[in-house]
Order: sequence, then C-alpha cells, then structure tokens
Amino acid sequence: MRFKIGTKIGIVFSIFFIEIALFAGLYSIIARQHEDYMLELQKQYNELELVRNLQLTLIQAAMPVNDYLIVGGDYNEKGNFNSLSAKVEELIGELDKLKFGRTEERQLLNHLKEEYTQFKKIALQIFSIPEAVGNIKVGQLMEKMDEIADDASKDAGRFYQLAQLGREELQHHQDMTKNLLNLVVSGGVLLNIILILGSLFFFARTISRPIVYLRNAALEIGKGNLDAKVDLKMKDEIGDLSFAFNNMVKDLRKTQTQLVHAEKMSALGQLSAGVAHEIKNPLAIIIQGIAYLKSFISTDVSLVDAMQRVEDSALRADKIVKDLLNFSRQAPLAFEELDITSVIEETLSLVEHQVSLKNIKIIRQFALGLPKIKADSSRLKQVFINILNNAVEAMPQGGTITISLKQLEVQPREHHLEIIFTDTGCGILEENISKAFDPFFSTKKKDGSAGLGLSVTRGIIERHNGKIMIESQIGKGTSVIISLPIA
Amino acid sequence: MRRKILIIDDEEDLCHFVKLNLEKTRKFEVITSTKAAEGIELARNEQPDLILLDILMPDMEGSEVAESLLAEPSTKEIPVVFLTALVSKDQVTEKSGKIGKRDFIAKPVTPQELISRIEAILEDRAIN
Repeated sequence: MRFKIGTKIGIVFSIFFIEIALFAGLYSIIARQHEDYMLELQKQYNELELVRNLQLTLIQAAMPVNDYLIVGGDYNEKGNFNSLSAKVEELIGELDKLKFGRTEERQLLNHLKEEYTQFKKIALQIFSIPEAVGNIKVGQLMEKMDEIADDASKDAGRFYQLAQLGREELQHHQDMTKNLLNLVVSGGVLLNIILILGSLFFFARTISRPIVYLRNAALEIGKGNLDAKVDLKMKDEIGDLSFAFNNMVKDLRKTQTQLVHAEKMSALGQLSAGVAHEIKNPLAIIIQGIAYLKSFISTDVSLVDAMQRVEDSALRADKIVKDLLNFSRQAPLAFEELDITSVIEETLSLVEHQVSLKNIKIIRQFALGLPKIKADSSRLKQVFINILNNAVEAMPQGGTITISLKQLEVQPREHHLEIIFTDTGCGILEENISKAFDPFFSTKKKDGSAGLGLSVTRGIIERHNGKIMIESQIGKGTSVIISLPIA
Repeated sequence: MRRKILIIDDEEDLCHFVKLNLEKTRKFEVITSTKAAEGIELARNEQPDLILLDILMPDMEGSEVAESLLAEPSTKEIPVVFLTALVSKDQVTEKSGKIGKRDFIAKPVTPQELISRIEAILEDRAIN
C-alpha cells in the first residue's frame, strides 16, 4: 500500500489519540464507580454510627426507669427518660430515612420501632405509678420491659452486624475499583511507552534511516563517486526522492562524460592545430623532394616503386593530419531541408560500384513518403561513407549491407527518422563497442587509420541533434543505428 | 621566356626542392630566400613575376612582408601567393587580414599542383 509520510504520521498520531481516549474513558468510568462506592461507604459509616448510638441510647433509656424504681422520682427520672426517648426516636427517624442494602435491616428497624413503642409505653406506665418502690405491678411491668429491652438490644446488635457486613462489602468493592484504577493507569503508561518506542522504530525505519542513507549517498557523490546509487524501493515521498536522486546521478554521470569528452576534444583541437603546422612543413619537403627524385629514375622499376611508396606514405601522413584537423575543428554546418532517401542514394552511387567489386550486395529497405530533415548533406554523406567503409572492411569475403530507413513511432523519439546499416561482417568485440566512438581508437592501425572515423561520425550526428549507437555480435555482423530529428 | 619566381620561406630544404622542381620544367627561374628582410630586398632588386611567401616565419610574419612589398611602388604590382602550412582559411585570413584577400596554397603541395596554380595566377594577372 502506498502511504505518504504525512499519512503515516497521521496514522501513528491517531493510534495514540484513540489509545489515550480509550484509557481516559475507562479511567473515568471506573473512577466514577469508585467515587460511588466511597459515597456509599460514607453512608454505611453513618448507618453504623446511628445503629451504635441507637444501641447505646436504648440501654441508657432503661436507666432512668430503673432509677425511678429505686429512688422514686426524686431526681427527675421521667424528664431524663423523655429526653433519652426523644433521642431514640430521632435516631430511629434518621435510620428510617436511609436506604438499606438488605431487606433484613429494614425488618429489624421495624421490629425495633415496635419494640421501642412497647418499651416506651411500659416505661410511661411505670412513671405514671406514684409509689413505684416495692410495687408488685411495677415489678411485673419492669420484668416485661427488661424482656423487650433485651430483644431490642439483640435486634440492634444484629442490625449493627448487618451494617458492618455491608460496610465490609462496600470496602471490598472500593478496594477493587481502586486496584482497577491503578491497573488502568499503569497499563496506559505501559502501552504508551510501547507505542512511543514502536512509532520511534517505525519512523526511524521509514523516514530517518532512508534519509541518512540518501545523505550518505549524496556525500559519496560530493566526494566524486558518481557510481553511488540509492536502492530504496519505498512507495512514499522518500521512494520518489530516491528515484529522482538516482536520475540526477545518472544525468550527472552523463554530463560529466560529455564534459570530459568536450574537454578532450578542445585539448585535442589545440594540440592538433599546433602539431599540424610543424608536420606539414617536413611533409612538404618530402613530397617535393620525392617528386624531384622520381623524375630522374624512371628506368629503374624497383627505385620507382620505392619512391612511390615513400610518396604514398607522405601523402597518407598528410591525410591523417587533415583528418585530425577536420575532427578537432568544428566548421559550421550548412543546414538545409533534405530528403534523406536521396542523400543515401547519392552516397550509394559513389560507393556502390566499388562495393559490388568486393562481392557485397546492398539491400534497401526504405519507407516511402518520409518527412524531410534539416541537415548538412555533405556531412551526412561523409557519415554514410564512413559507415559503409567500415562495413566493407568487416566483410573481406563479401556479404550484404542492409540499409533500412523509417520514421520512429515510439515516444519520445516519434519526431525522428531512423537509419540502420546492418552488415554480415565479423562483428565487434563487446568491450570494443563502447570504445568505437573514442578518438584514436582503431582496430586497423596498420592501414594507417588515425582511428577518427567514428568519432567524426558521432560528432556530425550529435551536431544534427541526432543519436548514433552500435549493436554487434561477433561472427554475425554489426548494426549502426542513427536517429535524426525531422525538420 | 622563363618567368621569375621568388620563394621566401624559412624552410631551406623546401625552398631547395621547390626551386629544383620548378626549374626542371624550364618554365621558371627561381630565386629563394629564407629570411624575410632579405626576401624583400631580393624582390626589389630582382623584380620577380610572382612571389611565393610563407606566412609563419621566425623573423617576420608573411603579412608584414606583403605589406612592405605593397608599400613600395617598385614591388607593389608583383603578385604574392601565400604558401603555408596553416591549415584553415580562418587562420590564413587572420594572418593576412591587413592586406586583403590573397591567393594561398596549402603545404604540402605536389609539384604538379604548385605549377598549375602558379600558371593559373600568372595567366589571370596577364589578362587583367
């Protein structure tokens, strides 16, 4: 899948956001639960307090009645009882407002209410008897009251136990939520650390490391190593960058080669112009001298032959110097609109007779109605003769030269004509193909070739904004492929 | 009548052989000089029909020699042909620019070619 860097960063941040949101949500739910339990627990403590107070007050409430039996109303026992009784009622009233966790608690409270009502009733009966001390009826009432008080005490105890139980349960729940909260917090922190490390690793792998890789390659190129290449098959901007980077290096390499070539040519031009003058004077002397000598030895065949060889060599040396100068001197081209087919035909008319003597057949495969090109016809003829000469030399036993001519259809060269010269000669060694266009490279040095033919050829084609390349197979033959822009 | 040719060229051997080849035809009488100043002197005194003049010489450039010849009434009518090892027209034009367009023959030249060029120039001159 193709994700841009921005999308990748977005995805990572979204994961963080979702993770944090989830944990925050979970935390707040549990925290609210925890708080609820706290409130419940507070209420439960309140209940416990009330029940404990009720228990005590119930016991206290019996005391003024007992005192009344012993001292008989001297110390305002009834008043004491009334105030304690009010307190009991208040406590029961408060308890009555509470919500209970268990129905048994409510039942117990109802019991307590009834018991207290009876207790109070009996106590008030006792207080209503003026001479209570030693009174048998009072004794009976007292016995009954003690019984009720005993029951109430038991019920209150049970009530307290239940409240205590409820408190323990709530306490337990609250502890659990507290632990859960701790777990959520530490789990969130841990997950965050993992996510941070993971995203750091992810960004390092997908952004940082490739950039470092690119930087190193750029440094290599800065040092002059134009073979540096980045091999990042990523589908984001970094991948695009590495693709552009490689293209840039390729262009740089090409430009550098062209620059070196141009420098070489310029140096060669200066050198050859200087050297030519120095060589041409002695050559002139040799040619004039030999001509003079030849005129005296017309009778001796071997001497005439020797003289002829010297003269030929001098003329050949002169030709090499001329070639060299032609090569290094970039005389302006005379461009005109041309029909390439007729240029080729004119060239062939110059060489075809000679070629046929060497048992070589020329096959024409010319497309019809081709558009014209803008070119210098004499320079193009020079190019074609050069290529045909090379082909002839590659086929000492004879063979065929096929010349095909057509308009290219493939972009971006659809506005070009393609001319292919294919021979059935000996072919060129693979390691020599790339050198074939280098100046002074020749595999036929002994023939006095300066090795400039294909260099000149390429120079001419390139000055026509065309391209030339060679394809060859040893023993099968060679194709020279030229493309030239349409006018 | 033999035509008189003056060769001014610092290459002594070339002067020697060109003289031999031209004189062998019995059409020409050749005098030579390897020094520019001496050549001008010879032109003045000998009044040749044509002067073959090298362009690059150590003591004086061919164009300067030609200028001197033009400046003097006794020599200004003598046709001057540059015989040069300079290889491009541009170079020749540059070197002889001050004295206008001139004939020139490029070294190395075969005797036959040289003779035919000299004859053509002399004929041309005779007509004009």
